[in-house]
Amino acid sequence: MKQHSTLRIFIRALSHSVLIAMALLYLFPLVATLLAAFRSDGDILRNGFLAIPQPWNVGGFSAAWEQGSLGVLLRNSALITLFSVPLTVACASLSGYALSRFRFRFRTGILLLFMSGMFFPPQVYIIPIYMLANTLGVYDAFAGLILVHLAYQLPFSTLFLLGFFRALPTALLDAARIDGAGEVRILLRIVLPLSKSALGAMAILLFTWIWNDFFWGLSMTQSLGTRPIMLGLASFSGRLAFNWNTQAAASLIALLPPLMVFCIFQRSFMKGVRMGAVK
Amino acid sequence: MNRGTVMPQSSRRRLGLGDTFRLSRTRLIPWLFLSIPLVVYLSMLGYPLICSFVLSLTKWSGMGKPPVFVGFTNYKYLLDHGQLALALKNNLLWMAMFVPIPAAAGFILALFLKNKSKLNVWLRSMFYLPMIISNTVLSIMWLAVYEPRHGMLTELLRFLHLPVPTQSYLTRPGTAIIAISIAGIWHWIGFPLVVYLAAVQDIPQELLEAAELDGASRLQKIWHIVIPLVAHATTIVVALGTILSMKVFDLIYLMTGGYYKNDVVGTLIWRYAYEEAKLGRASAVAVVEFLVIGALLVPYILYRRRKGELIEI
Repeated sequence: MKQHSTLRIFIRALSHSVLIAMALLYLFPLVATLLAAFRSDGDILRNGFLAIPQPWNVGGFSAAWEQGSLGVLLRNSALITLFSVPLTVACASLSGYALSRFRFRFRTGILLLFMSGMFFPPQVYIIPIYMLANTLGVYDAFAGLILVHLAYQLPFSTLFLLGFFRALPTALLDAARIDGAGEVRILLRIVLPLSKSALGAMAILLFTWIWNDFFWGLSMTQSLGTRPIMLGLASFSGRLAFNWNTQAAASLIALLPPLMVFCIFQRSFMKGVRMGAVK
Repeated sequence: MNRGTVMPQSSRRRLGLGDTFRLSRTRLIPWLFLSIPLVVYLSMLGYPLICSFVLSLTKWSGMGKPPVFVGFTNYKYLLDHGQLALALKNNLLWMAMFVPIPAAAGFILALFLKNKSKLNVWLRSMFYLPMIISNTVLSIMWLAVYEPRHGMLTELLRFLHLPVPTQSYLTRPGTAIIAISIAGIWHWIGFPLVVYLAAVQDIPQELLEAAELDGASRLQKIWHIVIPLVAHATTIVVALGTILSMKVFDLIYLMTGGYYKNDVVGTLIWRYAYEEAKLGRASAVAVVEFLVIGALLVPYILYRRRKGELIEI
């Protein structure tokens, strides 16, 4: 019996170490890429990507900041994200509430409309949206990008909140209704405060997606003054002739906001992914 | 439930003539809530779809002269030339990698990481982490992996004394799409892991214990109990993987530009529209993609609706 349990412990230790090794191996290429931020290009070319920086070099950061105008790009991304996320949350609260708490004609149709909207890639819409943005004068402007993000994230966000709102206890809302509270009041005073965790989880997901967006930035912006950072990053390779060091440094900076959000709000983030998955 | 609006149970009474106005007003309320979201949705996503369809019947360079109606010429072009077929084939290849591999990997990882120990929580986070990485950073990372002279893969092969490829996998037409799909898989494994973890943790412990008493081996338990009981998770992972495979764009655009016979439908639209200034043709591809995704979507929605899993429609 005793032998059996030592064997068991041994197997468990073995499987643990295999798992740890796999997880490390899994993240290894990411770490190696980001380490290039601390290595000169000469070092990379001499020793390859699989080496420790020698000597540690932080020149990439200043180069990325100066040549790549990282400051402007970061500001652009921050502005776009900070406006798009609350707008989307607000808009989706309205539609999610209407679809979860009322029965009316065409409700099914509208639900299907939102549902199908989640599944089409942006490329399908891009030509008319580009034309529309030109007509409205918001091509290459923050307003245009914010509007596009709002529209494109709306279907998912609506269904996400709809699912959560439906699970709220009806009795509570009915009680408020009997007390004479209007629907807007009920939404603002009861439904939204009760849904804080869902709203937070969704905001975190939206933040990550919009910050990380590449395609809409590519198709809706042109000048440095409006380009989001993910696009600026991509254009480094052309302009600086694949300067790994600079590019890795810029990547690391661009990665920081979502990384911080992930580290601080991991629980909410994962909750959001789980809730979103069920839709 | 009655039409119009949700009525509190206690106030339900026979409606008189005087209620007509009240009712029609309450009937309006959901539409007031919906007005802003619907205007945004219909103008930014609904109208463009119709517009794409109309544009696909025209010839237009986007500048100067207005679009000229040409009927189904664009669709005929797509049928006669191989580009769209190749792009669809590449989407399918991507799907063949992107659907089964993360699903299997996520499931197996979930089995190992299902218990909530401190180590497991850490390990899970490590597999979730790539989900927050943007496609741009992801592409830079995988370019560093595939770089032919000093890239990580080359270095690894050298270290193992294996033959080193002379040409990057990314610039070889046969391997480009597969090589990029591996980057996509790396990015996505966290998602199936989350979904399967939730499903595996929901399995009642008694079931597994009962099977153990009956002498089932570990593999038998997985095959006969766990896999059937996580079918719901499998549906989600497979459906989403399939649809995401039709949506690929960023990674292909960023890593090869689709120049090595690895165009997918998304990058083909981009090429026709922005590089060749053939907006009609690009719109036709967009309409085809819309139809393909729609065809994938309808059975999925019907299936989940039948199982009563979808928000009631």
